[in-house]
Amino acid sequence: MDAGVTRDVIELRYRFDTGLLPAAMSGWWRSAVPPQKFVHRAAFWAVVWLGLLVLAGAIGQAGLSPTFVVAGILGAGVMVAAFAYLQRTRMRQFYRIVGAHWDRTGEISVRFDALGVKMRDEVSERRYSWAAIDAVQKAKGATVLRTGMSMIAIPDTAMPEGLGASEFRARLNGWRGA
Amino acid sequence: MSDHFRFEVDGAGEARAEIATMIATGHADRWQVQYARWRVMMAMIGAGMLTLIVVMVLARLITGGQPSLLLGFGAAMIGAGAWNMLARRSVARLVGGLSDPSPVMDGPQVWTFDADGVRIVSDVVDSRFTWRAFDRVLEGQTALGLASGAVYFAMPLENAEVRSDLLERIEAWMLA
Repeated sequence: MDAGVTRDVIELRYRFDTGLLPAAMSGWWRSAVPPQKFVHRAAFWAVVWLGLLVLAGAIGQAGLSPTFVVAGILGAGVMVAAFAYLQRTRMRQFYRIVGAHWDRTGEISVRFDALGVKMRDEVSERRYSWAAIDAVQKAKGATVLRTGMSMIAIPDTAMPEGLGASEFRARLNGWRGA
Repeated sequence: MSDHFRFEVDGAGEARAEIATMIATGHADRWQVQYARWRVMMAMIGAGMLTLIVVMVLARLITGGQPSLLLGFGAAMIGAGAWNMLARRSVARLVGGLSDPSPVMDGPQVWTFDADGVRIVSDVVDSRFTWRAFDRVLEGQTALGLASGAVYFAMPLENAEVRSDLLERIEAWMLA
């Protein structure tokens, strides 16, 4: 299979750079869990901060020192920082374990056409009809296809000349919707 | 012990939720999930004690006095609880998203396992993987999962005896 693009077929060959994995996994996650609307998130945090402000005000009204508020924020900050650190370490380990897979796949060949997606690498051969592709999602530096629980990540650098990543996604969505 | 297993399953909906939870929490079997719950509790106690020391020092240096210390420690505990709650909610949303109806998981499938690897065939997918492709086998209470990088499969398999037999074979095939 040679890399190239025609009106009816897109063929790609690439080696997956595991440096893209965090962004690709994030795209995969967003394809399954669409981000909440900005208004909802803004309202949530507005309520949280308003609550803290009311608490601080109540402490002041009770004649207690504002240092109590500082102590509260310090305590919460220490815990959030500790958890954030643990989360980062854990995710780094997760990416290392998951990323080891692409050391074994070697070069990946993918063909997209009206019938679906065909993939081949050194450890697998897969054929999906378009009905099997649940989502085509933009990620930083890649396009992510989700099929059931699985992720297929296509790096933007794998695009053949004359085909941009957004045009690529538009073509895939065109086939999916046909 | 068989060298060839073939299963015809009609949809992997239930299995998917179970395996998706394992993926989202990063655990390979149900014992690890249970162990992780205990580990989180122990970590919370440990983190609480560590926080108590840090907050004690900070409260004394910056705010001074015991009441500030208690308030700081209380806030840290509330922060830990909120973090844990948000993390659980996040996992639940992912599992919910992955459990949405999907032609890949909901139709009839045929799974074939042998020494060469696994083949999964349905109306919309035909995939073959050698055993080198997989890095983890996930064992649920009613399902078997296979992980190959970020490619995950879930097959319902409620018979514990067959599941144990198959797992033993898969582990041997993966090592071969």
